[in-house]
Amino acid sequence: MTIDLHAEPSSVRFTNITKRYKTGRGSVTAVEGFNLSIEPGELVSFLGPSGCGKTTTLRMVAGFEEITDGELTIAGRRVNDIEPHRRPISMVFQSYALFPHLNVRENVAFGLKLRHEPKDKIQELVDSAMESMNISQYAKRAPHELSGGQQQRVALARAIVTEPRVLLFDEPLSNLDAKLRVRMRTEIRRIQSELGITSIFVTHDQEEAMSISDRIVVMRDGRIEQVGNPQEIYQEPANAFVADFIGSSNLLEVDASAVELGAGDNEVLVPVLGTRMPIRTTGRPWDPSHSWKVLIRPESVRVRHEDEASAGAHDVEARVRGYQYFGDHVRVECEVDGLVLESRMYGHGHHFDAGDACRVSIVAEDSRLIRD
Amino acid sequence: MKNFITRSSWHVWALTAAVVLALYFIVLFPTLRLLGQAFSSRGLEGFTTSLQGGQGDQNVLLNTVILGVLVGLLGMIGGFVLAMARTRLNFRGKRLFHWIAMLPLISPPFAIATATVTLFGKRGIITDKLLGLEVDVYGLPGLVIVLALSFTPVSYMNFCGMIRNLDPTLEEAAQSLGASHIKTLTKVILPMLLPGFATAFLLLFVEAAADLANPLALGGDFHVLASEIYFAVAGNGDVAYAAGVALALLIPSVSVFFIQRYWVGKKSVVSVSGKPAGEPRPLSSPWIKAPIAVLAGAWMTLIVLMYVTIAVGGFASILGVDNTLSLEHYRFIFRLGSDAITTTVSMTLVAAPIAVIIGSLTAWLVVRRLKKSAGILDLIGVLGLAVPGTILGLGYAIAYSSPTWLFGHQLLPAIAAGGSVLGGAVGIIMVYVARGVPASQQSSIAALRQVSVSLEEAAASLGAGPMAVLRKVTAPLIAQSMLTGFTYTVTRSMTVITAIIFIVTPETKVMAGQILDEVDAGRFGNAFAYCTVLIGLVLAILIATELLNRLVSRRSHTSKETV
Ligand SMILES: Nc1ncnc2c1ncn2[C@@H]1O[C@H](COP(=O)(O)OP(=O)(O)OP(=O)(O)O)[C@@H](O)[C@H]1O
Ligand SMILES: [Mg+2]
Repeated sequence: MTIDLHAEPSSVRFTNITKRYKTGRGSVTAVEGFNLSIEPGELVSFLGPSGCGKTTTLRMVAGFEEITDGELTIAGRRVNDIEPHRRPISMVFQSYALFPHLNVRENVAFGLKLRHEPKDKIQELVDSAMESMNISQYAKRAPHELSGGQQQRVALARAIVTEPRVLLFDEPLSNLDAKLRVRMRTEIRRIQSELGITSIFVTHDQEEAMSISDRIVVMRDGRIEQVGNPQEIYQEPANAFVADFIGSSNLLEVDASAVELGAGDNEVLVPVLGTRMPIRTTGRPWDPSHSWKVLIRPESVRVRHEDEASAGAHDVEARVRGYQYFGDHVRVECEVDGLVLESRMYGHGHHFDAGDACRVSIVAEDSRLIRD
Repeated sequence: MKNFITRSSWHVWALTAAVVLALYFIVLFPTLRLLGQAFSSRGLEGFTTSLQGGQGDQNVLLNTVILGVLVGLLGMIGGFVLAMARTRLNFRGKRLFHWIAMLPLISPPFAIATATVTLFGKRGIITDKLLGLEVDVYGLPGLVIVLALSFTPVSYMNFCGMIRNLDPTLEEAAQSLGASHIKTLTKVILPMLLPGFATAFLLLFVEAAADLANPLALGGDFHVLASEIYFAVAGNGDVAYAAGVALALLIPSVSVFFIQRYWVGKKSVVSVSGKPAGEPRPLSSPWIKAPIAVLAGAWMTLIVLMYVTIAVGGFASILGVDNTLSLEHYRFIFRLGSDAITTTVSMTLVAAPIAVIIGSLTAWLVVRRLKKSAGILDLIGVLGLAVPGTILGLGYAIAYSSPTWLFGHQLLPAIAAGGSVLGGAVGIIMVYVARGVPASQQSSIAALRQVSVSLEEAAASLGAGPMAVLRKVTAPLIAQSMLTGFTYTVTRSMTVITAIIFIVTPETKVMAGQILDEVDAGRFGNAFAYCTVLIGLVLAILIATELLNRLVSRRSHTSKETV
């Protein structure tokens, strides 16, 4: 990689950003009270269900949507009223948006030519960008003569060659097949960290977000639910929505009157499976006036045959309802006290049949008490 | 591999034969007969004379080319500006804008010419009365303006479709790479519309170069190939010579038409990228908006002015000279022209369904049935539009004004021009059909390409024979495009004069012919009244068709839900 960055990576700061669309009847609030500070060189993903405002927020950064309220700064400079083409950003689109009347090379050179850079400099920058994206051999082809993955590489080369301070991605991989998606996201991450460009990556694929992000912003209905690194988002979800959206989870109702304060920090004793388990709360301290749930990730649920030796943990009688085999892991659904618990166990040697009697135990340290 | 679609029953063969025969008689035969005359010695004389510029002291060939180029350029720009205004500017009344922009398409050829003379002529209301200018609209400048106004709807529609298909994310991509609004326009939008500009120019070039009506009404001393043809026939009765001149016009027209259709058309780069992303967004740069708004506004004003003149002109004694209210013109046309009105409407209503049936069957054969020969059939079908109206009409006069013989047997009596059966109505209807088939065929081909073959295969697997599939599955699926063909044929037929000028007869009066007579005689008031009635009739038929369509599609929609 020989592109050297003249432009410093920049911070992006959202302060109370709100977006309302005017429609035929009144207005729709797409984003409300959005506060976020993105550090220079960071890759932040916006993650959330369809219609939660990810694209809208991203397009406000690009300048394609007007900001109704709040302040947006890039590198400390307010950009609310700056036109898109004057912002130091580049965007990679879901549809690739390659110019059909230009060939691959001309597409990549587009932004540089607009700046009237000297010819040999353009040549050099374009060459190295195409090389780093492995598309040099397609230089003379028209966009429609490339596969989806190749097109997206061209789009990425075109976006980085102008040395933007911020790189924006709107679901760039969703038109690719599963295998290619995994490869491309690795590549995006590689380029991004090599160049150290501040990036915002919109996706609704949680695995994608987890695998490439420094931090993830989980959104719902135009609001931020949680901001954190992938580990925090998965292990310490702020609430039941985040827990449910990221990965799979068992969420158990909690009878607030039966909860007691525990010994450790933020630890409470919660009745689960007929015993009082010490479980930590996430985010906020225990407060009986709110509604809470116990989050138990499936990999924290162990299931064993009745006749197998106990590992010593507290376990209870259960019955197998369903069993699925995935190769590297199995998924077992058990019924305990009228509850259904999902378990995921890695490795071989786990085999159950529906209807089997079994015993279930839970790894309490990995479970959390979270706000509903 | 032979699937059921290409496996044929005798029905299909019979149908194919019928379509081919129909196309043969409505376009191919007259064209071939015309070529036959053109290659006679007198014909070749006409041809070579035309190539050298014609008999008179002006170069008719050059005149034709100049007229075509100027109209092509002006109409191309006009259509682009109007389409940009409609699709990319924010304003109220877009439907009205659209209707006004399309108005020239549904009015007879002399409407604008006559209004132009009244407004901008030597004693024109604007040029003389208002501004006191000394201008003469007769000749090239007037022709260019009138023809550009008349044919701009063609390029306008073309651009509307193309601009709608531009992927708005491409513009955003350009902007995010640092392109200003102007640069986005010049580096992305315009280059992607390039095939559209070529198409618009070529189509308008052909229309203008081959137009006869306006050069007759407004040409003055400015002669073009089409008027040469007319004068050769009408003046000297020298049909063979006319056919030779026609050949000089036919070669460039047909070449340009097919260049446009098979080369430029295929070059279209619009919408190759992934998935189309939403509505075109309004322009935001005042530097682009202002010129478009001003130009479109001016164009619209001109059109409105023309049609107000037409509407008012029918009720004034002599508009611009004696402006007193008078119903004399309407009395005149309803007394002497009611025949023409009913004849025109009935012939149109006979021709349109026939054109739709032939056109959509041709489309079906081209897309679904034929393989190697599909291209040939497609070509024969669109020939009715590729051959300029004047020439097709001349071909009819040559081919059908005497009985048609085949191997010593009389196949057909004389069906066109004076002294033929039904007063020549059959010939006129056939011309209407010939001009209508291509539109119907093209829209049905487009629709059929969208319909998955698997739907037809599903029907077949449920036990439907090829004919049942055609009637029960295919036809309903392309109903909308058949309707397009219908409305197109109606507007074309009601307003056409060029293509039938050689075969109209005293017994079968058509409105457009009547208007020509009135214009020729300088009775503009009558012409205005005729034009108004004609436009009103076309609008009435279009609106009735649209209402019927809504009624039917609503019914079929509800029935779909209950299934
Ligand atoms: N132009 C518009 N006019 C009105 N409402 C809009 C417009 N664009 C988006 N919205 C609304 O704003 C909300 C957020 O839309 P947005 O496109 O940002 O969602 P998203 O998170 O990107 O969803 P997806 O995952 O489906 O792309 C949605 O409720 C949507 O209906
Ligand atoms: Mg989105």
